Amino acid sequence: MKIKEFSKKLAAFALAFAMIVPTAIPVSAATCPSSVEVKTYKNGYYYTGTHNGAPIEIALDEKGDYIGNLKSSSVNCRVYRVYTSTSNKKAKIGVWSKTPGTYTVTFDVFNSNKVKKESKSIVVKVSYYTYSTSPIKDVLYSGKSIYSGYYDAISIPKSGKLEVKLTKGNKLKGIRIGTREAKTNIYKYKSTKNGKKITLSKVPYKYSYSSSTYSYRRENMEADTMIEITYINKKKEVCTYTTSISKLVNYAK
Amino acid sequence: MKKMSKILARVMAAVMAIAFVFTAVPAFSFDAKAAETVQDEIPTKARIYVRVINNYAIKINLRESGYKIKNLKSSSSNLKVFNTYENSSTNTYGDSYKSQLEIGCYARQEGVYKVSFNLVKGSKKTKKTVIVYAKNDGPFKKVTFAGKNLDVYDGGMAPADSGVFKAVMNKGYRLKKIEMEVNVIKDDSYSESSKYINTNRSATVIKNGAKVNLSNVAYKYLSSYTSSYSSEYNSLTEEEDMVALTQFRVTYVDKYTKQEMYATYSMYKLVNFAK
Repeated sequence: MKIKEFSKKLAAFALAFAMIVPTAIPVSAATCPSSVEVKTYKNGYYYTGTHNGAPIEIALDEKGDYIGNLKSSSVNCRVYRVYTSTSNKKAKIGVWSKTPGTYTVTFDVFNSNKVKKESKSIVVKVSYYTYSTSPIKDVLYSGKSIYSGYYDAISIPKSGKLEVKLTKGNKLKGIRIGTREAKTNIYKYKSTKNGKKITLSKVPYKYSYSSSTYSYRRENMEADTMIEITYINKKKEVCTYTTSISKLVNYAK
Repeated sequence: MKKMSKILARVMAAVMAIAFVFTAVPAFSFDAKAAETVQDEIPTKARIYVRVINNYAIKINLRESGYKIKNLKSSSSNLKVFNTYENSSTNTYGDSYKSQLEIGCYARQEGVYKVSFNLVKGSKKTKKTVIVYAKNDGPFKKVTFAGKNLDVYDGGMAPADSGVFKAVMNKGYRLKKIEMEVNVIKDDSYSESSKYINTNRSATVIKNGAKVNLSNVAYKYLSSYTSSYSSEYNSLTEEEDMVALTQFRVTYVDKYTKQEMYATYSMYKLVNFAK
């Protein structure tokens, strides 16, 4: 074989080989949590602000993907697709329930050609988030009940013992204290023991923005300290009760 | 326990006082419409509750941009004040307010206080005074829907699909009107392949004690394009709530400032869920 002929044959062989070797197409997968916790009230609850508070957020993989065949394992846990954006590649599922328990939510992911790509399953744990204070006998800060009239937000001590008292039949599971992070305005939580000293947050809500044509600045007077009490009620349900203590930090002297 | 529930009722009332936004009524209606020509809004009186933090007790709206609050003072150490908000816009479109300022107030005890400050823009300086009434009594003796006391918050879900809305006022407060606001879907779609749906709010006046039906219309937004060419050009953005929101706005005359204020009550009804 002459060299020219050989290289031609080699090229043809290489090309044929390349065409039959299967190209590995990556399996695109939507991303979402495997389980979520949803808090509700005895008569049900819906987060305000349309889809912004939706408990299940799904990051879709390709433009044009969407979710369908949304189902809940029980009529005690209602679900609905509250948001979808094929351009943002995002979908959100709202959950409505008034019955604490563990449920399963399932849905399918489709591509822009309506072809099913995969199925997803999410565990939803529903518990009570209640203002009902019958399980809470009292919450004391620095020796005073936080419910004793309207406490003076100026003279309230910067730190003090936090004591939670539950009514009979309810068992305390944990206490967390939330303080605002200045940079993000998000509350960061830390566990504390019942009867231990806590320090109130000094960080008020603060936000500012400015552009060439518009500027705004907001700063609240008070710094809130969130108190999250988790307990097990008489029906053996896990409940969370949240309250807060405000301390005035901003005022004209 | 009895003492507890009484105290709690007071606490809840305070929380609700903020949550239900006892606010001075602006010149606009429930449905935010742009006024033809805005006038400067500088209040001379304000009403707050004792030991309740109100970050926007005094709201100032001005036609010109660039205004700031300086020399903010309170007549008493029992009333704390703070400039909690300011914005400034040099956008030329629209005839809305270009400077908006807020003063937060916190009263340690009941009283009538004077808050003074200067409105400053460059070398321009004007002194302003606001009389702040810090009192404990609220406007409502009781507000109910379908027999349920609306002062107790438990998630906002409606107790029934229809019922009587009734507000009983406390002495010295005068009920002016009650409005019921619901969602109205507006379909501005061009065709099946080019859709646009949005939701507006619409309010109607109702009589105190009237039986009303709650709305079944949930908020919806839809913008979709379906190409007959290639699915590559398709797009869909859709938002839809699970609940339908009905809001009741009760306008009344405040006992102390004699100004109109309002309280808003929200009722949710579950209407959308996967079958």
